[in-house]
Formats: sequence, structure tokens, C-alpha cells
Amino acid sequence: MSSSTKFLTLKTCDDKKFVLDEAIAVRSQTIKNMVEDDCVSNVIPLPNVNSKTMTKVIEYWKKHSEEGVSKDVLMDFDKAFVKVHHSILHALILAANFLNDKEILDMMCQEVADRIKGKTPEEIRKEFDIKNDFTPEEEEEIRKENAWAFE
Amino acid sequence: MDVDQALTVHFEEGIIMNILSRLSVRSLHQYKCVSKLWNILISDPYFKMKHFKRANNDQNSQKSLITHMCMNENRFSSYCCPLSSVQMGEDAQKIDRPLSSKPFFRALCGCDGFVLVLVSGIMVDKHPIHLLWNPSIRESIVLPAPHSEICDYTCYGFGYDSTSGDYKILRICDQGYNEILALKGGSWRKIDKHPRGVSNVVTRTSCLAFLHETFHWIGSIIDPRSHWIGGSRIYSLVLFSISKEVYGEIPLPEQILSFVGIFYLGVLVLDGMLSVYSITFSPDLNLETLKLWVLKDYGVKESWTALFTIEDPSVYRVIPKYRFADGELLFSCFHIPSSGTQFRTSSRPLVSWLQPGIQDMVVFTESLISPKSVVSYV
Repeated sequence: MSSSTKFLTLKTCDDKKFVLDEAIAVRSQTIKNMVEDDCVSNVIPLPNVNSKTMTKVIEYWKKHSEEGVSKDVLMDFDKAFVKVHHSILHALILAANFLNDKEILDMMCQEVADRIKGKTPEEIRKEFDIKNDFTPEEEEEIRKENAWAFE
Repeated sequence: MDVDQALTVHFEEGIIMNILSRLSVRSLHQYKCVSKLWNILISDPYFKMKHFKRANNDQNSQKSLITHMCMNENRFSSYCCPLSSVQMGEDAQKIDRPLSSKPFFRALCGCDGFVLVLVSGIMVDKHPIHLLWNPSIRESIVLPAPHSEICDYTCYGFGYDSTSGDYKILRICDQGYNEILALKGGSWRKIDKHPRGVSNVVTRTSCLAFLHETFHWIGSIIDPRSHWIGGSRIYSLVLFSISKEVYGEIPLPEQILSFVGIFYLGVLVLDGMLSVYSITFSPDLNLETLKLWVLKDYGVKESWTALFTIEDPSVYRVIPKYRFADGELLFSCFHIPSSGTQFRTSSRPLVSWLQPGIQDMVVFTESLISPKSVVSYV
């Protein structure tokens, strides 16, 4: 078996290299497409992902590729996996989006959604660093139209 | 890149939509004022559909709309509740209903994010106003009036026809016409009736069970071999396909057909399965018995499976409504000690904050989609 195992080398934006079993790395649709199109040379550059984030992603991939892991164990793993500082959460979303891993992306987006539940628009702007580009009049108008949602 | 830099990341629209599609309709209506981009995203028809598709598969996005009238009030109120046996009674929220100047209001059936509603100024109105309402966004539109008036027994079915990409409302009466309204068509169309008609129903108006793009109800005829006046009835489970618009039948559980003293037979959808129930009355015991079956494999007669029996001397007229994720059956019933309709489960009363009175419930999915966007004539 091991003789047929192919390894890929991934290089993150901070020049760290990760050597990974191809069968695991193709959980990323982006990498899978590259492998299938035969455009994988020695090293796959991941210009949008840093090593800290990639370590987390690989941790997830390896756990979810293990054989004989029960559903409960995976669920506990996922629960612990999403409990990270929100900067890492956001970085994981960007990485999952770039790597095109829908599983991680959806799980992380759900976590963000769970965390912002019940927050006010002001708190949301702060959370996502969004500039309020409405004039006070425009904002007032939208609040009025949706008054029931603020009750 | 160090961690703190990542704090200022800005997500592209696809990611923002992915996150927002997981939020409640109420939150999203608040977040329209976060920024111009968020307002545009949340108002976008593509996003609304994406949000709905996710909500449709999410237990937490299924809601119940309860309509209620106090005995001494002569006016209906409506409440939106989560559909969980634990929270249902606690997290109810009163919502303003459309055309609230008219005191009488019946929510008939729900489909996706919409509820079909009848509104009238008097209790027994043969020409009520038909409304299509999305309770999540508080928007409604008036639907065209059907050709025939409300008969003694008038049933409505409401479903989505994926072949024509249109919502349709089927209306069947014991007298008068059967009619169908395709929302994009804009007017009611008379159709042939099924020879079995519609069996007597507990209330004047009720809802047909919609599953696999097909409406289902109980039809009956008087048994010609019957010897007593009024006759015993022969029941059957009638269906009507929403896209082909043809009638058919599914065999009922054998056991039902052998029952004597059937007071009522009903159909509903439970857990995505067609379900029928019988209410029989035993004069000796002065007791009503509800028995409920589900059809595990649609169309396979052998797969009818008995699921619940309810025999409780303190209640009668038990109408099953919904099955919670924990397996408990929610039903409405007339509760003799409090002399009013009540929602209960097999183990306990629910929604106790409501005063005794008339109450009913329909299930719908939280949705941002406006009723205006599914009709052609607004």
C-alpha cells in the first residue's frame, strides 16, 4: 500500500512546507483539480493561506480521513475544532474558501452565524470591520421599514 | 501574516451570503442597516432563495403559526412559536396579522414560507377574503375570490408544483365546484370532482395533506348495501396530483376499514410520511379513541404501520398536528375540564399561556420570500 502512496508538498504564504498524502490533500477541491489537470509540479503554492491556518486545516483533514472513527468522536472533534479565536475562525474561512473545502467552509460559517446571533447592527459592524456607508437619514428609513424586527 | 492582521479580513460576497443564510429572518431584517452591501445582499432574490433552501432543511427554521380566539373576545390573535416540544409554549411571540380590522381569521395551510389565510368580518362568512401571507416578514397579498362560496365542508390544499414552477391551491367542496388556483395564472379554474367527494370534516374548513406533489384527503360514499337510515359509509383515501391534475386512490389500512362507529377519518403528513387517523366513539365507555398509522413506503399498502393510540377521558376530538423531533405527537383537542381547545402531546398539555378558546395551528418555514414574488398579478 505504502509504495503506492503519493505525497504532495504544499507551501503556505509564509514559506512553510507541508508534505501530505495526496489522498488527504484532495479533500481540497482546488488541489484535486490541480492534480487531475496534471498541473502539479513539485510544490503546490498556497499564496492565500498561512502556516498556522494550514496546520489547523490539515489537523481536520487527517481526523476526518482516519478509518474507524465513530460519528460521536468526529462530532466532539468538530465541536472543539470550531472553538477558536475569531481571527483564526475568519482565517479558516478564507482558507477553506480558497482550498474549496465546502465541509470546513460550511462548518465555520455556521460557527460565525452562531456567534453573531442576537447582536445589534452596531456590534455586527464592529465584528466584521464594516463601515456604515448609510447617511443617518437612510439608516433611519431602513430601520423604520423593518421596525418589527427591532421590537 | 500574524494573527492580529487577520482581524481586518474582509469576506467576499459569497462568504457573507453563506454566513447570513444561516440567520433568522428577524436578524436579517435588522442587519439590512449594517451597510449598503448587506442591504443589497439580503434583499437579493438569489439570496432569499438560498436562505430558504437552507431553512427548509433546518429543524430550527420550522415554525408554527397559532391562531387563537378567546371565548369572550370575538377576535383572533396570531402567535409564532418554535416547533420543539420544550420551547413551544415558552418562546411564543404575538405577531400582527394582516387585515386586522376584520376580526375573524383562519390559517388554513402552510407551504414553504407561506400560509393560506381566510379573513372575514363575521364568524360564518360564505365569501371570506383569501390571503397569501408570509408571517416571517409580515407581508401578505389578497388572492382572487373562488367561484363558489364556502360550503358546509370546504377543504383547501396548498402546494408547490415543480413541473410548472408555480404554487397551486386546490379547493374542494361537498357542494359547489372543485377549483384550482395557480398563483401565476391569477384566477380560479373549475375542475371535475372525484366521485367519492369529500368526507365529513370536523370543522367547516380544513387542510388537505400535501406530499410528493400530491394532495390527499378522505372521500366517502354511503354504502348502498347499508340497511339503516343515513347509511354507513365506505371510505377511501383520495389523491390529486398537483401537476397532472388527475385523481387517484391509495388503499387505507385494512384495520380502519373493519372499524365500526367511525366518527371521523383524517389525513396529514407526519415526518414526511403520509398518515391517516381514525376517531371512533364507544358509547358504552363514553370514550373516544384515536388511532394513527403512517405509510412508511409511499404507495405501498403493506407498509401502513400503526404509530399512536390516544384514549383519554378528559379530551375529545383529537386532531393530530405535528410530530416533534423527539417523537412526541402534537395534537389539538377539546379539553373537557377547561371547556376549550388545547394543544397537547401524548405526555402533557402545551402552550398553556393561551386562554381556553378556539385555536388552530399551521406549520411553515421561516423565509424572506415575498408573496408578491410568487404571483403574476401584483
